[in-house]
Amino acid sequence: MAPDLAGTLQALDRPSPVEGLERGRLRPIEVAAQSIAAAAPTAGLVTTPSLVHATGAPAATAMVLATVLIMLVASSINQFTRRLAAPGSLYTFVVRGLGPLAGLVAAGALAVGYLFVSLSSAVGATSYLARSIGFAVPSLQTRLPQLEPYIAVALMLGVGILLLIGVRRATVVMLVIEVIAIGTVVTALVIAAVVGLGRLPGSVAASASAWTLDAPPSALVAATVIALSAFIGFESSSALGAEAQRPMRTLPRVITWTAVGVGVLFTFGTLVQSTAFAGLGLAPSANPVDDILAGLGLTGMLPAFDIAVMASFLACATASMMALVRLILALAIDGVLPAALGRAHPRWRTPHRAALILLPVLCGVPAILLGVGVPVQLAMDHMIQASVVGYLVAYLLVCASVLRFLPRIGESTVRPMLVAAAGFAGLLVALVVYLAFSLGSGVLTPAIVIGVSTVLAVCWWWWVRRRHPETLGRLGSYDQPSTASVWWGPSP
Amino acid sequence: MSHSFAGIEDAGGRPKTVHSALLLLEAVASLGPGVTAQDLARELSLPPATAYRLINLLVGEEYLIRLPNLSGFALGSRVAELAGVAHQPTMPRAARAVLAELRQRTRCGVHLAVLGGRRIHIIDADPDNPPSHPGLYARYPQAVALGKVTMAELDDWHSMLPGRKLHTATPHTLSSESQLRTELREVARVGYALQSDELVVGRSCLALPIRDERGQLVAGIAASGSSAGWHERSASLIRILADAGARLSPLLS
Repeated sequence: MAPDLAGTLQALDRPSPVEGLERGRLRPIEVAAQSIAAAAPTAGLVTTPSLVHATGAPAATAMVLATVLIMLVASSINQFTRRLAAPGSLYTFVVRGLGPLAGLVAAGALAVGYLFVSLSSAVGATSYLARSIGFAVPSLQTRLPQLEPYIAVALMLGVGILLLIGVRRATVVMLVIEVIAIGTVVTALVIAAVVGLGRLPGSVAASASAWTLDAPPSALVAATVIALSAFIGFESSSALGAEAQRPMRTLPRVITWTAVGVGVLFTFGTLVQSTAFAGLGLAPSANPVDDILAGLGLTGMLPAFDIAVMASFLACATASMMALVRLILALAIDGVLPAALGRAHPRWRTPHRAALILLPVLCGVPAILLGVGVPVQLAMDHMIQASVVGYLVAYLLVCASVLRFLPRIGESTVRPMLVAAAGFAGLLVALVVYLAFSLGSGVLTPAIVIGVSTVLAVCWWWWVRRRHPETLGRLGSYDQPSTASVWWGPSP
Repeated sequence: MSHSFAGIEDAGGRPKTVHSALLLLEAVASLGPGVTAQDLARELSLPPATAYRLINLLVGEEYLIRLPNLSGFALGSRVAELAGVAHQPTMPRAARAVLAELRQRTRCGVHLAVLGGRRIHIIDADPDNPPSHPGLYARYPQAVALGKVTMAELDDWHSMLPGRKLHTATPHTLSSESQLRTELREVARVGYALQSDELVVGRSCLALPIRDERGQLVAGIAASGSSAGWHERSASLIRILADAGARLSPLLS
């Protein structure tokens, strides 16, 4: 350690690699908005519980098991967020743990996760906004399918503006959206629970059956793995490390409590939905909460609920893109992508070039899918499953990274190493089961997309190693402390 | 599950945690920047898991800074807020004039330090040629000319070494006790100390003690610069600094 200490202290004199971003500004609540928006509990509550329910396993038990596994992942990610603040988030962490090749594979997987959840959310937001317009102006109802591509472009241009105009403004918008959206959906669920439990025969028994362990283990594993998709994005505030105040205190708290909060909300939501489904004799459908509210005679709540879900999708697209443009910025700073992408806008202090390059994709893909008449549910299923696989691969690699990183910096102790190993094992099972589940249901997109991204990452690594071997040595840059952040004692 | 709150929770049940956190800050201050989490746990005989948790808690609050090599730590600038150390020792105007003249004449970095007990406290650093890494002095006193001057004065010079051990900053750092003992004896005999590439490769320094009328060490004056051609310059520099030291002594004591 000692011989390079002078070099290490000289590194303090260099400007932080990420100094273009607005460093040290975001308050904890704004950082939390990023993680909550990316996990999108409101939008997720519409789809995930009914998918879990459809496996036939006790849905609430599966949710609790998924929460436990995600807590292991959160704890492992926080081994890094407690120690370094990096806009490249999990990519940077994996480089620091497992090295450049695994880091680039993680970057590819993470990009798949962020991009596809954004595209899926764009389609979701468009379809929910179109439905709300249909409720409000019935005369437009027949023309809505033609209008949908334009709605998608308009919404995603709005997301693009949020990406550009500054991290603080974007997080405040997401915060407002999430407060309203979660407030609305929790209100709807509580009313549904109260009304439902009183009115539906056998509902208490049904809600009890959502808790048992009395199911074939394979069904329970499948249900747990699907339940994991409710959490994806919860870690995305790690991309705002450089921009947060006291990131090494705030980020671990935000990441842990987002995971806990989403787990509690989904367990409750699953319980209400299982109960109502049993009580009302409903089959799982694309819009289960709509069906439940209608079945209970609460149709008056539908428009408010749809708007809340739409807003939640929009916030999810924004948050996921925020993390993606920062990942691109980090890759460019590290010299893997063109250096021009590594510079932030001088006034807005955002990675504007990455945002402007991605905006046509974000607007174009949903508009084309909706324009050629691909069914909304089909498009979303494919894209969300691709996204989940991307996230699972990145989570898997970050858990493995902990096992190398902590010994390397001389801070390994038994508990975090066991937690990371358990998280790794759990995620490996989850990844295999999830891929088998999606292939089994005829959805090839996740396997293809993760395969392509991994092959690209390996080729990229191979190309960089041949052409610019020195680049590989400086991957994984993060927001380093400056001389001013160290107290050198009472001398001038 | 949140570790971040653990410190506060423990504070109610086990005040020992707060005690350990403060001891950790003290240990980082005395062992100097670059100290590792393992060093700290050993120094304070804390279980590693407890030490690492507390260290990361203090890093989260920015009382400690994790250095760019990711394994070393330094005190964070927030400690200065805590200690309220806004005070700058005042320097007599006449002393400042002597230093200004000296800087102009020698064209190298000239620094004045108060040397008392075991501390090297630079009170007037050359603004144009600042000393390289004064923050390292606490960890490597034997690699710094001013440190050698201070240690040569002490019977128990081991007490200036962090953990009473010699740490190595560069391949030129004095790394054995016998070497250091010989060097300090030489410093006491000739009345100045040399430092070449010992703290930072490529940088050299020499320092002379400044004493009050009773012969007590009160301050040190040092000149630093690039190692290239340093040896040829040192004889004339020693003469100039000795002369300046004699003029500064009545102004400082």
